[in-house]
Amino acid sequence: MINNQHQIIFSIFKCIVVVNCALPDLRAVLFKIFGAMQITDQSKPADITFHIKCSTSNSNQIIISREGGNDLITNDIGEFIFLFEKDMTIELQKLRPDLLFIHSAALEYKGKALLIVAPSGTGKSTTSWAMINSGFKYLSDELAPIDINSMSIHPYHHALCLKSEPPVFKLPENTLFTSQTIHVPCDSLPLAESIKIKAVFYLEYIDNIIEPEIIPISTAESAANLYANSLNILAHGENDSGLGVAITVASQLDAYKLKSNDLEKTCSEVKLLMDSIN
Amino acid sequence: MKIDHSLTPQIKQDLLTRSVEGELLVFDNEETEIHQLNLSASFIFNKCNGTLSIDSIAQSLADEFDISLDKALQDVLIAVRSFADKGLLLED
Repeated sequence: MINNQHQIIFSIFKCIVVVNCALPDLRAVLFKIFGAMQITDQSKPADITFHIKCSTSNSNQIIISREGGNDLITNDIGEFIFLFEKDMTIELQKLRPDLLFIHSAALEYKGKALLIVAPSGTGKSTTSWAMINSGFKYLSDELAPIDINSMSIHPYHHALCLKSEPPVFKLPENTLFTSQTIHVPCDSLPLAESIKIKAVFYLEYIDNIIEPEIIPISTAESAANLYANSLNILAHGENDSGLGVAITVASQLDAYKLKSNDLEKTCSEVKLLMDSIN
Repeated sequence: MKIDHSLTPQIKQDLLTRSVEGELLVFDNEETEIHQLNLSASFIFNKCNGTLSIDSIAQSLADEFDISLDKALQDVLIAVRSFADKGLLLED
């Protein structure tokens, strides 16, 4: 028997995700991380259903069960958030093969979206945090689903996830700290809705440069980078392994290599450049 | 693979390529890797058909990009070594 009071419902990329969890502390964590995507009125059946509970053999362990999937066992809150989100986003990609999912941060500035692409752990979220505090709005720090026909990006409003305390701008009081990560809930962030993308920045953090550098790159280089950072490119091209889609998307975006060191100067430079893009 | 002036390099047959503004994107289905080649590397790649020697490709490159033969030869050797390192060349 499922108690509706123990249920949280999210709408993510127009998919309904239902989480049944009798543990109030974990519901509070889920609300902090995904609360911006919570809905109260479930207008269609669940696309993904999770059941979350404590292990009967070890009360420190949390079990994540997804209908149709294998149980995931986690040992602390940080690991719980990581595994839950990873499993959910993989399922969302299967439910929305029409969207091209890029492993990227996405922000909005004056009505234009930009992607910040970089390998994990190299500054996407920290740069996003600085940008949000410098006049940009938040779409995501991790996952950028692109509608290829309209070239618009869907927001993925999970809590911004940092690996360590950022060097600039104070974290809000409702920030969640886990053993592995720091999560800034979306109610402390300026949020942007679905919007057309205009530019992509391939971020590289470099210690020994005097000023941030923004260098235009070719469409081919951008397409190769987008291809390498796509999570579901093979779903977008039976005959050419998705190369055509990567080129189509890259050819519609201004593309730059962003060599960053000073975060505040980086934000200023990116704002200047975004102002120049139509 | 020994790469010298007499080698007639040949690109593997099963690579997927797309030209974007003169630069090639090369997808290696076997390794599921993508490579992006700049203009001159793309030119050299397209000449690696198994019949042209390094010297001959260098001559073509020098003519096409209006550079010295020495510089062209150096560029071709670097490019072909890079193709070999990336597994894009047919082995003997």
